[in-house]
Amino acid sequence: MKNKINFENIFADALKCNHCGLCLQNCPAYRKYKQESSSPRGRVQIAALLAKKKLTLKQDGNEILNIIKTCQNCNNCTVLCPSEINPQDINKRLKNILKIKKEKPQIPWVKNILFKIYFRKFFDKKDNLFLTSSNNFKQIKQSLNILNKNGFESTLYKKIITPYYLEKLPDFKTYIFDDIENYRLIKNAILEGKINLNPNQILFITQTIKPKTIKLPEDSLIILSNIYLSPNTKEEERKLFEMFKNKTVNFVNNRYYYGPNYHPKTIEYFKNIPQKILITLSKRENQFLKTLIKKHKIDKKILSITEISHS
Amino acid sequence: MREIKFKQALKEIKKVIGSKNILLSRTELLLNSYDSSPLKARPQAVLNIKKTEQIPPVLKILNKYNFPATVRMSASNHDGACLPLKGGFILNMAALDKVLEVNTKEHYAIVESGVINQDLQDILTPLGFFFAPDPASRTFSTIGGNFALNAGGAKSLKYGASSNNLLGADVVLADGTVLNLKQGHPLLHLLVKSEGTLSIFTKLKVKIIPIPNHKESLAAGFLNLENTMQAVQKIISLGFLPDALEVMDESALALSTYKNTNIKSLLIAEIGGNQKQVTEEVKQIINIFRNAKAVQIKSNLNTMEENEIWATRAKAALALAKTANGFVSYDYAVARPMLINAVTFVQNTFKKYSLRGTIVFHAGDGNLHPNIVFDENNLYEANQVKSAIKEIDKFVFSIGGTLSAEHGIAVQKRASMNLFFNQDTLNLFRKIKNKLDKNNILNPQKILPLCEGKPTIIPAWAEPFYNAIKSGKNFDFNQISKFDKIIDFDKENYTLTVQAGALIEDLNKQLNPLKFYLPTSQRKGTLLDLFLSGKDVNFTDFVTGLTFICGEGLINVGGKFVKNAAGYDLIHFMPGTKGTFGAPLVFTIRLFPYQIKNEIRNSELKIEGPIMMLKEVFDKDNIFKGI
Repeated sequence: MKNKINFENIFADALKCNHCGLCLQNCPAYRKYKQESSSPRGRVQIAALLAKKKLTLKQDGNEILNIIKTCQNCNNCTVLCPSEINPQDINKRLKNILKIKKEKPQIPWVKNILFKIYFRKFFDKKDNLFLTSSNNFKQIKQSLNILNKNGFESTLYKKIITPYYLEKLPDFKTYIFDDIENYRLIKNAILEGKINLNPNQILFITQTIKPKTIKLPEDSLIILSNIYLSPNTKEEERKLFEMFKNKTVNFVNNRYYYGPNYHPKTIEYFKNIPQKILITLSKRENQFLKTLIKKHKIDKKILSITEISHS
Repeated sequence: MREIKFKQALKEIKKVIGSKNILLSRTELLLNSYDSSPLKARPQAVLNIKKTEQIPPVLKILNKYNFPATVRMSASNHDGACLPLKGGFILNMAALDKVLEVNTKEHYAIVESGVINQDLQDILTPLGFFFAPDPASRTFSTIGGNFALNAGGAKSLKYGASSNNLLGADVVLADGTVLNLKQGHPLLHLLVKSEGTLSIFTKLKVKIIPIPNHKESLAAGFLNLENTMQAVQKIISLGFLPDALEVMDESALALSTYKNTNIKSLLIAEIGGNQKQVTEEVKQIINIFRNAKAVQIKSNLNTMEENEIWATRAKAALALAKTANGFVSYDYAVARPMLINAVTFVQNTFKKYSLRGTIVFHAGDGNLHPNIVFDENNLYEANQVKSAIKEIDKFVFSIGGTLSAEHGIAVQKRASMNLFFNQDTLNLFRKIKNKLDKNNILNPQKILPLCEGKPTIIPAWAEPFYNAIKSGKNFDFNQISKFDKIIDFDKENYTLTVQAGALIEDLNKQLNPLKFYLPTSQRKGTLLDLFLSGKDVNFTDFVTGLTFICGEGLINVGGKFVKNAAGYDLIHFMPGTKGTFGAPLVFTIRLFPYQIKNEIRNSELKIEGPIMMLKEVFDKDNIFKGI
């Protein structure tokens, strides 16, 4: 029965991949294992090879199973792909075919603490609309709850959003998307003139961090570790960098470590940076860094952003 | 037999790297059979190298059983440099990614070859430094790969390509010999852009540069390419040396936010230095733009706008990618004044073969990138691309350009090597490869064309030297001293092609009144002596073309272009050999609009050890006794 699945149809998008390698840079799995099979490019190529019948489920199923498990569902690769492929979605389809039971998402969509601090402080509640879509019902509920508690307008839509849907909505200054596909769809619709909106009104969630008011101690380094709130591209990273820049304040994104399986470079990195105070944005990161610094005897002070904003 | 050997080799390798790090499944092999090019080749096994110490024993085993070894890290190459064409073993060195030392006092960093370019930059930025090579793929390409292919980037106009930024390296030769080479060692320069065919780099000592205090970006839109190139020419000829000078053509702009404007070409410049100096330069450059009829000039940009402009440039190559699954990017370099001809020719060729492509170029150094997309499954379209490239190759050769400026030759361009190099040179390349890698195990079948081309034509002026070589008598370096004419003085391109016996004093007399300066502050002696002594780092760095005679015949490498990644780097191999390997006859030298600082190396280099293996290749009759 398995052989009758028409992979060519299921993975038509994977065949668009021209294996440029752009997606390797921010993939936490590739950064850890450093081999092609744990990279987004590798996973997309597996789908393409299945479609081309160079691999078969019967012979290579077990191997493929091991490979696609390494994906952390962070979606960093999708933002970078010039061919507009969604490697994470391809991976999901592979999982479905191989009948892997739904696993808990390893990176929660959003963290309470971050939302409270960032979004309440930096956004005008009335001006922005968060558009959220996710397959995971729990995640949606969680994020909507947080948004509503903090007095934000938000709306939930089904998997694919049409341009007309947006037109029906009341006017907002910005529309903030949490998934890249819809963001691209709407952005393209605007560029083609289908919707009467300014392209600057459409934002992907990583483009929305605009710290204005927070005062940080001098000579400190902010650690943006949550993948969804860390800059996904170098361009955005630079934008953020400029915003935080008051000469002594610096920040780093999560590329140097990833959860408890931290990258071997992490320790080296933290030893080398000149800043004395490191500011973390989440509890998990705070705890993790504190233990790391104790263990390796690095002379740095760790503060969480809540400690700063309260004082 | 072969299979038994393969199993034995695996058994021995297992003892070195452990069975966990050997990948043999069909899936893994297929996933290591491609890179950024449309080409594919499947290996027999993939070895995950976790420590640099594992490389010499592994190479010894592979050499013993005669299996090819091809290094693969991020596999971002555009020409198939890391494809195992003859099968064999892939050495995945991506895990060698430690930055071992950063020394901000002496301006160097020591890294393993798998360190990603951007990772090093991220470590250096807070310290106020940067690493000059910045290929568009810097966010995922490795430093080892950058050096193996002499990657350049936007900043190489001012700071040079990879090979100008290397201070030393640990290398492993095919037979497992480990060498520690320091800057100025001829062998280091030969190995640096050899695309992994001569050796494997394990540790690299690279130059790091302080970030300029102040930086400013400018963008100017023009109605046609001619005006753009006029502006570029003017900027360079007035003696400005911007950090970057990039141009995007009409087809590239059509994929960006400029698509509905009347702007047909966009020039982006970045100027770095002291704040005073930068503001002054920016003023003058804006004037140049105005005089060249720029329709839109963007200056005084805030960071957001600046980033937007550079993002447009960065995305120019890959904006095409979503339209098809086949993507090729070429990297010719020509003399700067010829750039407009080359670009127009490429544009016309695109039209002729109805190809979908864009052209972006690093205008300052004459390096242009025709990027073409095609449907991989459509044979007709793929063939159209091939014929178009053949035509462009011929044109670029006819105007004296190079086949590759920063991507390397690898597989995709190797057939055209017959066009760009004479047979003597290619034979010398082949013999170097055979000498350093007797069993041809390191990245086989790369760079060198598989079939022979036309025989070398000896020009009349070179005949006496050629005959002297063939006679088998000791070579007399005195006969070069009479050989001192200027062959070509290209004021627009800032290059001088001159015979080797020319006296520096005489050249200075002719050049300095016109505000052209040689890249040396030495005042006396001949160019030949200066070059072969290898003491003046600046001078040897800025020799861009060289014709020399050696036991193999008349060798011709490089030309009137700044960047070059085609073939082995013999130009920088010759200094320091002191005339024991061959005799330079003609130099092409990059000139400057101001006197540059001198950098003299005091330590004497001894020619001994592995480099002596190459003596037989260059000088089989032992007739070059040195100067």
